[in-house]
Amino acid sequence: MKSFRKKIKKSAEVLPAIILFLLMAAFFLLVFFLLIWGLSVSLKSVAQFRASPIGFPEGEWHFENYFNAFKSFNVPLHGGRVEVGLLAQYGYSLLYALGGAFFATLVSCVTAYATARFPFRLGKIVYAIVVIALGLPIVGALPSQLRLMSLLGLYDSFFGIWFMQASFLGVYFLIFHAAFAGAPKDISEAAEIDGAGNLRIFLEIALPLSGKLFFTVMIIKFIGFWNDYQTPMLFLPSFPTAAYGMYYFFFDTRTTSAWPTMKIAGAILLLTPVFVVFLLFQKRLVGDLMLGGIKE
Amino acid sequence: MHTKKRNDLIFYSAMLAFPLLQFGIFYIAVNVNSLVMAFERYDYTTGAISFAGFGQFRQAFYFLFRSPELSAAWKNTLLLFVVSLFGDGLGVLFSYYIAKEKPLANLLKIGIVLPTLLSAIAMAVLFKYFGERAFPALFHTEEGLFSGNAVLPVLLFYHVWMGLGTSVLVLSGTMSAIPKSLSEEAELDGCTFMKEFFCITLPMIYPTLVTFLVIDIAGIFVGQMGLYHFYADDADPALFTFGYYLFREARNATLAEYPVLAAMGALFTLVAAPLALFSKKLLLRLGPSAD
Repeated sequence: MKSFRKKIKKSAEVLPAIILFLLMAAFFLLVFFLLIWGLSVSLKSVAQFRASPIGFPEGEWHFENYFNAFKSFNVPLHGGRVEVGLLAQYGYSLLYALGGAFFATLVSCVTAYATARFPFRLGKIVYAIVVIALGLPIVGALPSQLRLMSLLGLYDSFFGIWFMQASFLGVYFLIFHAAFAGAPKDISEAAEIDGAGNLRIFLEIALPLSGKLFFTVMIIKFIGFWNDYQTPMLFLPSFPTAAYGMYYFFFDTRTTSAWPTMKIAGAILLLTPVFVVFLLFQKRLVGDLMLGGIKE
Repeated sequence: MHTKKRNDLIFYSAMLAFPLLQFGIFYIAVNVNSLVMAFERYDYTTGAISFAGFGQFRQAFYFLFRSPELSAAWKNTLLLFVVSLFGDGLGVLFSYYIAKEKPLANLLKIGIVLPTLLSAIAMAVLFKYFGERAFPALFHTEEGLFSGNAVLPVLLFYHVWMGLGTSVLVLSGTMSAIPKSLSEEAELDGCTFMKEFFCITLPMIYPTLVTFLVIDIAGIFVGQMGLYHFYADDADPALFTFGYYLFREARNATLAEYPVLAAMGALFTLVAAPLALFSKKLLLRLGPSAD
């Protein structure tokens, strides 16, 4: 009887973990299966794909799909008079994502530092604004945003879109705030006694101490902006990014670009840079980020 | 001391000047302007803007409740919200598995987080062709995943799948910060895996969980269910959510059509904002105790 109870207890301990493991494993396998399947299709001819949509190509591998996708990955501008190719799109993506990620991270970091380290009342108000804005939906402001950007002369410019993205609203402010509020004050106090000013303390002590966090947030933001096609589509129409190019390529119905094998090769071309970034910074990206606190 | 306070104040003001200016323009001005636009009428021939009273709201009401194009949007928006909550629940459980450092936890975490980090449009291309071409061949069926009755559940699954990474990334980090001693004590007291989850982890991370739930509620009318990735402007109205509809209309609208969209947005805000704030209060009040 005792051993039966033990067995029940053991399975109550193990069974939920096994179920969770199986579910997570299914998601894990699905993503890698999809990526490998995509890779296999991108190397097939249309005939090979039609004959067998699963598995790597039997016979010849068609690396030219990548070359063709690269050539056809164009976005027409000004009624088709100008075509923006993939290299230029990568360039625009880099500008949009690097600038956007840098300014957005910097503004979140600076605002969090000021509000966490100085005891002025405005800091509490800013913190409350962030918390309220997170849960206070403003729906349908896109038309207004487009009109205001045009009015301010910020529409369709990198400066404008960086300015728009350089907001402290969002969860990363809270993450920075928690980091600065929890950091020991003794180093900055010692520097202050040695005559260091506020700017020097921020640049030489606080920023380097939060450097890892800054870098992690910036990479996450960079990836987010790199993948974002909807914002550049609306606010940066003359500078199509690679993600927008993919959107255009996906829905392009010209004969050759309509081949699934080429579209999938195009998708792999877009996924590759982020995949490389992910492999390089994997530990940092899937490391531990904390949003709020835990209960004391 | 007085000089120090003055210097601090100057530095503090300098640090916050740009963020507050940005906030003033892109949050306050944009949203106030959106509200103002909801009461405007734009004459396309003359370019004149005039006061429209509640005319745009009447039109917005008509679209929301009478337009055949939006007849399925209520149901789909609600369904998407419920499924998002389910996704959060799944994210919490997966995060718990990872935070407890169970077998292969870190490897599995990579598989969960990766889709969130990869390009949504590129993943949609792969998933759509896989669903349309490979799935029927793999399972010997006539219909693919993007035809017939399968489409809506497939889109909902895709939404959950792509969103799991964000919650796992943040929640597993929060759970890892729970002192190990608590869990060790619980184990000594004979707590099982799930009992520890319900009695220690869940109460401890409750504030973060509330934030996630409130973000879900706040985004109820914004969720697009990935429709734009899969269909661009041509999704079947039977699949519409309000988030998709608003984005699609804003992208294609003329200046004359902006005000009715702004009115629609204001109506949604009128529903979602109090709901989000009330839910937050209620959830925090009803939350479990960590004692």
